Amino acid sequence: VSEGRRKKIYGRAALNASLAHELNQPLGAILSNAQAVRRFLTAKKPDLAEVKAAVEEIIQDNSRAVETIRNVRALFQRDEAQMSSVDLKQVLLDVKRILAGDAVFKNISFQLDLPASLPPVLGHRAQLVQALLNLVLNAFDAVGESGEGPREVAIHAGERETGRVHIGVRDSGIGIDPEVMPRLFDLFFTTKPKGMGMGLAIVRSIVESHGGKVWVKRNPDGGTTLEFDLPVEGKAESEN
Amino acid sequence: LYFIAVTKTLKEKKCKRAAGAFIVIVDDDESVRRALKRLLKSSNFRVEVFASARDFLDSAHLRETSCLILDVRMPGMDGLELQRQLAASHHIPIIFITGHGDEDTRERALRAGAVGFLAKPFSEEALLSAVHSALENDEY
Repeated sequence: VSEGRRKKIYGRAALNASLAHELNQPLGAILSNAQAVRRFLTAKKPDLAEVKAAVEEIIQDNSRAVETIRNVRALFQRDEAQMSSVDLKQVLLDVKRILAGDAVFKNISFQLDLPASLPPVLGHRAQLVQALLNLVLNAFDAVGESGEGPREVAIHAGERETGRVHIGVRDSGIGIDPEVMPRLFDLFFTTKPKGMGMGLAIVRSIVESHGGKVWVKRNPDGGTTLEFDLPVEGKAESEN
Repeated sequence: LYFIAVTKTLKEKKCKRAAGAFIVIVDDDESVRRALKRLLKSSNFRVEVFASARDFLDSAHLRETSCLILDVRMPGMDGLELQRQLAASHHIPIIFITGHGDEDTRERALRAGAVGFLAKPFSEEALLSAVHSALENDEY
């Protein structure tokens, strides 16, 4: 069994276990709330406020389970056949346009630092937009959690080494505990109270399916930069 | 007839003890905490919830806790570690709950004295019967 294949099998087993956990949590809560409702309703004077609160939570937990399944499908439903030449500069400008209003609303300075042109990469445009949206929204969250200090998110891009386009999303946010860094892109890993742990896992999955790598760096002056690179079209390393 | 009468008194006694019992839930998942609290309250228990093992240890509730419902995997201190720490100083019966349901953990937890080990999602019957047996064991 090849290393790659072994990794894939291991990854799938780990995914199954975490997926089961992610679904068992809301399913367990739904069941307990439903059974509590049944008990409340058998009382002589049912506490309808409690019943209503329980039903609201049942609806929320149901959405949580549905969302998990939808995201997992997004992770795997990749249309491998239709890769085309993508201009990442155009993608970045799109992302900026999509999120400009969000940045204003959150009082965050959102800047692009782009060269005159970027070499094209072979890929799925919509997926690359998705990956960048997730990275920028993650950066917005990091700034939002920081409270005081500068509120800045900046994307820089360039061909740092020959044959690879490099993109970094830098935030002035709270920064990441070094302990959690290795798990940052893991599926279902999250540090946010309402987080699902899927955004950055989707980023990694998209970048890797395009032959790239993702990594994380702490900024010397605070905050975090999440980076990835992609092979320039025609320069992808042959599969080994 | 005598037998039935005795069973009835025992049952009543059991319910009486159960009704006053103070139950603590420690789980890092907010939905799970809220739902279990509601279910136990609907069964007339007094209930307090904590998001982490540390929060529970730091609380003023250790002494009055008659049963602990404890998640296995949590960030920071996990359920098994809390069980170890409590074993030395307190005799609180523990019912573990888990979304993973791994057999290794089940054995370890039960060997270390847990009175129950429930895989989520579990029914109210499973939960309440574990709670009742926890409260009975705690009688002495």
